[in-house]
Amino acid sequence: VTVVERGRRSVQGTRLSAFQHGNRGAGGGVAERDPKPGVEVATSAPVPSAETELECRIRRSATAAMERYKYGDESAFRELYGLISPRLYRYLFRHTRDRVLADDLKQQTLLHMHQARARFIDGANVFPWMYRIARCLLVDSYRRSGRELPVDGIDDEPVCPKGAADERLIGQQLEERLYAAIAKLPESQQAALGFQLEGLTYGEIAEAIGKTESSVTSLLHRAKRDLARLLAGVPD
Amino acid sequence: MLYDPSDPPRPPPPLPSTAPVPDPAADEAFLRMLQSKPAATVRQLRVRNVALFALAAGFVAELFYWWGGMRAAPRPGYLIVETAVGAACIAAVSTWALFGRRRSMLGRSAIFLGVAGLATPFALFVWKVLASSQQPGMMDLWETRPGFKCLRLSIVMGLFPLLAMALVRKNSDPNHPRLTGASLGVAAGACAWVFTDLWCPVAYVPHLLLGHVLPITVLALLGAALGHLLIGVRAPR
Repeated sequence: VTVVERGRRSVQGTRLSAFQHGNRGAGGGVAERDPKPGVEVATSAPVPSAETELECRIRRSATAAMERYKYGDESAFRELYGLISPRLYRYLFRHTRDRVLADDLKQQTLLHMHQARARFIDGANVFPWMYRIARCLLVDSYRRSGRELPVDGIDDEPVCPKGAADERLIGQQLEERLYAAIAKLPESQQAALGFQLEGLTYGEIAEAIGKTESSVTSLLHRAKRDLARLLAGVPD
Repeated sequence: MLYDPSDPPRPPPPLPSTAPVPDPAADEAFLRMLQSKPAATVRQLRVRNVALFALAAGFVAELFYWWGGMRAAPRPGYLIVETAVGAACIAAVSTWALFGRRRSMLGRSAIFLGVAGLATPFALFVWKVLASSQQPGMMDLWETRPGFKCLRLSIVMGLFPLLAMALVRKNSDPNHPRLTGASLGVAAGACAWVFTDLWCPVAYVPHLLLGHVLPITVLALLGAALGHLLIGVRAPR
């Protein structure tokens, strides 16, 4: 007899503390053997995908590396660098479209994290902190240089794909168009949407922008609505 | 940080293959540069922070003594203890809430700081009025004490802890440095309130508003300015 339990899982069962407590509960959603012989219980809790587990593991590793670095393990920063530097570069390059500037801002962000090593709070999530510093330095850099975040390309229609090279080109054009449209949004919406596109959860975005999760939900809702308007070319 | 199955962390999408990649040699050079510029260790930071707070406490104590120390009359002793202990508890909770960062490197949310920052002077004021109203004559007008001396004393005494807290939190808040600075100002004002309360026997409401509550507002404004200058994260010039 297979009994499907729907909605009977407790909050602890569905809200896995994967970040802090490892992969406990990763088997949620897999049929479990009930103590009663012959009765299988299939739980309705969603199975964390391999992708999600990997992301949680990366976050834990980053926190652990930063903690080791805080307490004097000099080699831990190299490990941390390997974990976060590619993401940081991707984030900054998407928003600047300038390799040199993205590299420079990435190094400034990491320098800031290095200088704050002794202030690191044990167990704190590195990602919201890192992305927030990067965003802050990015905005500051544009403000100082008197430039605007790049908004060119929003009106360019992508070309029709013909071959593999064209597909790559259209991917790039679509991404440029998306980020150019994001650059036209208000700062708080840009930050929240940019962080969500980088894969941060609502909780992490809330931490990164200093708001509550419910504020983030409505902020992202407004951002996506405005972004859709911008991409469709509808005037405000 | 809970993993919510409806909102799982996701890997960021890769850059298009046409995007330039960072230079690995530059990465290596950067890591070597960091090794040659070691940051403060936990121990060094702890020593510095303890020294800063000790210095601030020393200045406050010295100033309080120089200003005349505790003045009891005409208050009964238990009223002094009641108001001072209550104010000290409120100041301690307020400092914990406004200066602490909980378990996040980015500190508390703007809403939390705003609510705690507004609640602190309100709680201190209500406590003082409630405690003093139980005693006859304690809330009467004092012609010679409009509150300017208390205003000066509170502001000057609050400056030292404010500066110490701002230095401890230097370059630490990329989110809302002005609000964080203002919160530190409120916490410093709450600490100064305790000493001003020991010094000043007047509980006449306009006096309290001018000499005891207004300094917290002034310190919050100073804190906001300090937050902009010291606490925010900026690109090096």
